Amino acid sequence: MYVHSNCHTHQEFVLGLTEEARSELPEKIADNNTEIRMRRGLVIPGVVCALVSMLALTPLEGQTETRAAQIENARRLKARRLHTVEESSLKNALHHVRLQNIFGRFNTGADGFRVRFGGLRPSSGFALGPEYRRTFMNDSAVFRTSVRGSFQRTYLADIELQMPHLAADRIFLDLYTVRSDYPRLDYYGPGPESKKSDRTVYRLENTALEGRIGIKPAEHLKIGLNGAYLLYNVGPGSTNDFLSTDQVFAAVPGVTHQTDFLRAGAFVQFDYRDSPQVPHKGGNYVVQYSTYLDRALKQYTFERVDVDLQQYISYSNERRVIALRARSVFTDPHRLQDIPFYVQPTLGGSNDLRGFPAFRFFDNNSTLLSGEYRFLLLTGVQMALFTDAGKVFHQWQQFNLSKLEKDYGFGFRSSTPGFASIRMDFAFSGEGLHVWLAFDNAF
Amino acid sequence: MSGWHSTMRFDRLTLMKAALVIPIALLCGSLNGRKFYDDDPLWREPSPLRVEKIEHHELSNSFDFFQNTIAEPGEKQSIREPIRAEAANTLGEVPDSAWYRNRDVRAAPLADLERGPGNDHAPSMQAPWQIIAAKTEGVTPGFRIKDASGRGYLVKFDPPDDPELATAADVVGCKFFYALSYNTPENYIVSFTREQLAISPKTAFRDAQGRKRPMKPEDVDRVLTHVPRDPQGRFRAMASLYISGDITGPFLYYGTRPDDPNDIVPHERRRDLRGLYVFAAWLNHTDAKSLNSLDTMVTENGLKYVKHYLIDFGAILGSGSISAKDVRAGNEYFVDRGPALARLFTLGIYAPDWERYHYPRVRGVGNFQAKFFNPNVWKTNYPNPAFDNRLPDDTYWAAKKVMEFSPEQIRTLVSTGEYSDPTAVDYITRTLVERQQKIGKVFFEKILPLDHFQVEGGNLKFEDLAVTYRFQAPRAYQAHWAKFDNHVNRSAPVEGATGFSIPSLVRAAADNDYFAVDITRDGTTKSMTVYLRRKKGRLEVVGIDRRW
Repeated sequence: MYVHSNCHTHQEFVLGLTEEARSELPEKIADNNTEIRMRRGLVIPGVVCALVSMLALTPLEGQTETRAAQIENARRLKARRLHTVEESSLKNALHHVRLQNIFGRFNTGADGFRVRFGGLRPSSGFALGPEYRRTFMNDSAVFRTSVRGSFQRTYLADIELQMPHLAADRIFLDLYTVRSDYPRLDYYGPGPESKKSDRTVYRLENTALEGRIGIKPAEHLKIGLNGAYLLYNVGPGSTNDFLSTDQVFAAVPGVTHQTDFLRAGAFVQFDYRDSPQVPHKGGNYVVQYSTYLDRALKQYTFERVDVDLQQYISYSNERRVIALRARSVFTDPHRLQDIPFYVQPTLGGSNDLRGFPAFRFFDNNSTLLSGEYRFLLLTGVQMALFTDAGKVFHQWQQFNLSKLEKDYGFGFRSSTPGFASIRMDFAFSGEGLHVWLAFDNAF
Repeated sequence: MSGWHSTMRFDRLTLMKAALVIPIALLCGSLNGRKFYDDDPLWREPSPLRVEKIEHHELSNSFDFFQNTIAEPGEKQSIREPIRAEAANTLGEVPDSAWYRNRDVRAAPLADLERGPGNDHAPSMQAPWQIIAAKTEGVTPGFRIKDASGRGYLVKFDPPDDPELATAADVVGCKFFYALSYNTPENYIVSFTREQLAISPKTAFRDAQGRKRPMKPEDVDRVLTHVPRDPQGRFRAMASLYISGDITGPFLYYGTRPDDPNDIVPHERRRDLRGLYVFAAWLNHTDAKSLNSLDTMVTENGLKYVKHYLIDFGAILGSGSISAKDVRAGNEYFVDRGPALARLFTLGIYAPDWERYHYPRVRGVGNFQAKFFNPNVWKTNYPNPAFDNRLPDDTYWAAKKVMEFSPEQIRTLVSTGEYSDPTAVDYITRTLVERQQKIGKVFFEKILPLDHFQVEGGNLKFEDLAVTYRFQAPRAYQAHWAKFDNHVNRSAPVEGATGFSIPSLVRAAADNDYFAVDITRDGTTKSMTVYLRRKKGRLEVVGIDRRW
């Protein structure tokens, strides 16, 4: 026996017995490796004890064993009852999951079919659906298509072709088309003074064909052009809980008549975040100019500038991150033209003013400031304390930072590399608590 | 649950029965069981039984993580009756076995340390290496290759932003753990061009989508796209020579293999695996888990048996294999409830010192430090049953081994990583020496650190390791002698026999007489008993019991 010298385990004891006794005992007490399974009631322990007692009184002179023999005997005992490793079905299943890269299929990194979560407009309900992805041209091109729906009978179908690394990674090209139907989107009326009690619903059907091409003249820098053809249809919202938008806000541009747009524009992006999925440091600055040409009614042509500035500052070895964001949308309708409400900037929802319902505020312009303090609770799980402030306003010349709507809150994010991000935010404002479950980062 | 034998499942009735049987058994044992045998202390286990058949088994990374994090398999230490380590001899040392082979570091020439498990089998550059598989296990990409001489290797690379980090760690790790007496593979740093790689015609490949298909040159190029190159455009890699024998899968850190007759000690009780905690802590091997072990059926001298290896050291020191090591590693588990709750309820204000440590940026080093290293609370990435069962005598045994390395030896071993920046060797050596000192200081404090007992010049002599390594000033100990009846495991004090001079009764003893010396020190309840036996006219130290 080669246990520690003062260790009186039952194994050590057994190894001091005769060969005959040892052959009886291993199933019961001799081997620590085996569960003690005595299936014959309390009679068995009594018999064992009697046997043990007798053996204890046997003359000691007969024992001539060595420590090495103790070990050999224990091995021989085990050799009599060898059996194969019984792998659990859970272990086998997890091994299969790894081999087949099944987790990868729930993310963007794998070809083939997967289940795609989320990706619809806020407050559209929990959405999921099949997505098919295929890489080709030696992984320099990605084809993707999906259909997603929610229990609110919202659906979205899209097809996308991405070629992000053309010409030795100097040129990128994206083509995207989408068809969506949101049967009950909220509308509270125009402007910052809209009331929560004025909530109405409308239906929005949208078809879009978009394209984007650009160059990467330097590391982190992208400059490009984009264009799109956009078709919209607005109808009565399908719910009995609230009035339809057309019943309350018929005079708002776009409620009764919709048009098609041709959109063209340019953008510049400087993105030096360390990891776009879970940024710890760096920044992402995007400025985009677009012109929307009304192709049908000739009433709704306007210019639009989107500015989105994000900065990430980490400390404590990147275990804590201060994330800051400033985002503004400025529009300028052509003379005697207006902007239909369904293409106006909005505030409220899981990605901006989180203490307010989705689409709580509509107007021609918006500005938003957000700050988050993120820290790791454990590997892959972050907690965040955040605050948002923002407002909508009618004319871009009215831009200022007064009379901002504010909220604050906390949230949890799971964003392990290779797995889909999940975020749950609890936000408080003058309009109560709002809880958001999302499959993306707020920013 | 795994199909491996586990000691964790006891139903209530079984426990009642066991409670009835075991005390009686222990009583009988005390009446009958001798404490020492003629061949004690055993320094080498007897030859293993021949193993006829053993099954290959796989282990899922996620299963291992969840099982050890949530189910916590294996035995648990009890406060009342500590479960002492097994697979140790009566002196508390680990005998040679299929797990462990004693290597005396103090006597080892530097060249031997440098050679480790071998340095004569680096992959041949005479002809292109044939890629026979892509490595899909683990977190770093790699290939399985055969060289011109037909030898097989696993080839792994560094992360794109951290050249030399993982490859150096893997080589340094195999040398250290070999020096620490474990079985490790032969790992080599290699440097090659793209032309050195060819695809064997039958090579199948499981792509990122999980599809199995023939490997194409583009697959090789894709892997190499993310591999750092040196100024000459060559790729640096770590080539690990295939371990000989039939691979049967990893071993677990609890229970025993039910199909291996030689595996008779639950792994969580093995001293060599419990003590591995200290070695892992020293070298920051936070990824010490079953998946980084390997059992292989070998044939030696015509005998087939299962040999146990430690493998994959790419995440030791400051390396996290795919990047510099997460600063959490070694300080908290992946999922550590206490610190997580502390952060939650303090809204992130709770921040341990190690979070704020400024790691020096040295090529190939990653995040490795000694300042906030606490060997008592160091942690692997997730719980390890053998590590969690460690007791002060286990950590003492291992700390003693760690302290045997001289700074020069440490530097020699670190240099095997072939760091291009000498600063890296300096920094890692210095950090390892600092961590070594902390290990000695902490674990020698938990028990009486007395060792190397021998009878010389009419005295029982020993070494106080805390004094030897200058953690303590010389101090006095008391000794009380007793006659020890080995057959009934009982001591009878010898009147007036105190101190470390051999009493006359002992000097006059006959062969096969045993004596026990209780050693204590004022101001501490820690104590130990040293057992002596007269054999062939000489007094020899036959056993040591340590109490804390």
